[in-house]
Amino acid sequence: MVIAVASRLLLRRALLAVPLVFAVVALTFFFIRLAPGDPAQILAGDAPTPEFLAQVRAEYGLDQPVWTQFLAFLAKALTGDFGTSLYSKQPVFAVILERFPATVLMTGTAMIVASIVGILVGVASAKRAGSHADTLISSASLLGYSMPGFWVGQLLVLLFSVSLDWFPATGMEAARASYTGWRHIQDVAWHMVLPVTTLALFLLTMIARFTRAAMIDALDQDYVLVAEAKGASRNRILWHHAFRNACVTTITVIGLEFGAVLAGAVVVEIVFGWPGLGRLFYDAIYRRDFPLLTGAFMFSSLIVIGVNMVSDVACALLDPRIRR
Amino acid sequence: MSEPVLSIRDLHVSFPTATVVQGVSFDVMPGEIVGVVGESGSGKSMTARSVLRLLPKSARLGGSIRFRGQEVLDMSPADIRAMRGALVSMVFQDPMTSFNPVLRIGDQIAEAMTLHGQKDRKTLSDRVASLLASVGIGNPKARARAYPHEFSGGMRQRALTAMAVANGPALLIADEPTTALDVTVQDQILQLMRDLNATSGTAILLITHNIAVVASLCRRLIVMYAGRVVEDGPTDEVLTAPRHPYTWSLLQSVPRLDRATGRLVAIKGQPPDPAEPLAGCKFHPRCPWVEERCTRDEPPLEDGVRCWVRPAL
Ligand SMILES: Nc1ncnc2c1ncn2[C@@H]1O[C@H](COP(=O)(O)OP(=O)(O)O)[C@@H](O)[C@H]1O
Ligand SMILES: [Mg+2]
Repeated sequence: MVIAVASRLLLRRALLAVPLVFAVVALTFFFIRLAPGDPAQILAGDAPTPEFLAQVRAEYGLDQPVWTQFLAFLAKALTGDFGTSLYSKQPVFAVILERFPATVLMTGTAMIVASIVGILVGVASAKRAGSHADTLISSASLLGYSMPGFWVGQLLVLLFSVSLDWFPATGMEAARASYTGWRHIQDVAWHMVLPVTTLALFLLTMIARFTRAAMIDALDQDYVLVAEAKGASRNRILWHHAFRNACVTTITVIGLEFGAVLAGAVVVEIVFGWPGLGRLFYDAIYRRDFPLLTGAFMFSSLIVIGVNMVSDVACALLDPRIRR
Repeated sequence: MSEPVLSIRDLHVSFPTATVVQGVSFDVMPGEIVGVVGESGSGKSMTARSVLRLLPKSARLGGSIRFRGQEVLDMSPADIRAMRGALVSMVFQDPMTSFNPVLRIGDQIAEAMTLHGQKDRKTLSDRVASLLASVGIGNPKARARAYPHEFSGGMRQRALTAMAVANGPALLIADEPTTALDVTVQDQILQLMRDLNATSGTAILLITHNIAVVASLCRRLIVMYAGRVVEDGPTDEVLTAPRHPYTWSLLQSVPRLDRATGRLVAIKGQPPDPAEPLAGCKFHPRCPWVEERCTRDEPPLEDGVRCWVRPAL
């Protein structure tokens, strides 16, 4: 039943997403071409002869009008070929896929941590709305919300890595020791603590604030009084009745903020030397690696669209009034 | 005579700003249908919700509420929960907002029973279907799977009534159950309550500001004004020979077919603001029979009437 409804909803949203995806691809392509810097110059190296420059342009199709380049790109993209990285000469898709797991690991962990902690904090402060604890939590989350990620990251590194030496400051695994099995997992987890905390903080405060507001609203509804009149316990009312309604807001926030989290991941990966897509992105901009940049942009946009689709469907499954 | 199922004595409900129920006392006997009428703001809902201790957080309760002889105000939270929905249940005013919008109707009705120990799924779904059928909802097995927004207002109020009686309570408190419904649906709900009372002997405390509703259903009538009981007696006596000026004015304001004028006479003036102290009888600023002592001392509820003057009405 639920699976049937979910796949129907997902299919419909996927169809709606097709024009969106096309727009994203086109915008990405043209915007990157509008950016300053000539890829042929970079490819050809220092002080190239004009003949060599022209040869490079012809080889990469850069002498064609942008429109022609776009159509050629589209035609290839449809077959799964997103071009070749100007820097590494590897297929763009392969380069991205290689970096993808590290980003998924960090972003996914940050999302899960932020969701669980954010929901618990939001529900706990809604339960005590107006109390000192609630005011304290709200102020703290405002603080967390207004601190930029790169700054939080630096602070955490200074405190927990440089001063206290509790956690490693950079990388994904210890460079010299080559751990295997369980030790390896432990090592990676150890390296994740600071970057995940940095990345999760913003989303966590957003989730806590919106969940709190939605819970306060839900707890004030008549159906909560009716549930109490049936003899439901405080916890049952909180989670079964109020949170079942409030979580639609929570999931919407998670979906909407996912783009910001991914953007935050770029910064965090650079601060912490995390070998993921963000780092790749940064280097691609630096090297004017246009095919790679286009691919990475497209890839992350598709992921954002996908995550939003999933959150839309989840909301519809949770709230029958939005199901259509 | 048997023991009252509900016995309220000198009930007080106060908020930091005002005392909104003051010295309310009345009994409900087993199997009895008692009506409570009064303008909105007169403390009917707060009185009703006190019985299940479902007041807003800032409210303070005083006096005594005994359910089958047991003091409700002294019960532990666990005892209160065991009573709510099982021995005493409640139907609220607005059927549109009384169901949780994201849960199925049938699951919400079943919850009333799981909370009180019935866990067998087959028994639950059979019971839910028979409850829905008993309130006149056709195809109950399928309807139980519906969500609240798929039900009309009248169906929701019937389903709420079914939910309230799921555990066969000794007392049903209905707080303006028909106010939000149109007239034909009102009648269905009232008929439902009448049947319920007749078949299972459930006592009903029916709160309403609609005198016509009371007249058709209740044997006894309690009139509230400004957080106090001002008149309490058999319905036919109260309606045909009111003894309190407020009851009289209330009846004057009801359009009746047998009246020559057929005009609606609103009671002049406003009920007192509970936050403003008012000496004497709380109705005296609006009372046509007001005397000097009415402005000075509050009359006691004696012989079912709270009035110094007791004019011939
Ligand atoms: N949470 C609250 N805080 C302060 N006053 C309240 C609160 N809830 C209700 N009241 C007041 O209590 C009085 C009685 O309300 P209520 O019992 O709902 O009246 P009724 O049901 O007869 O219309 C009203 O004057 C109302 O303003
Ligand atoms: Mg009311």
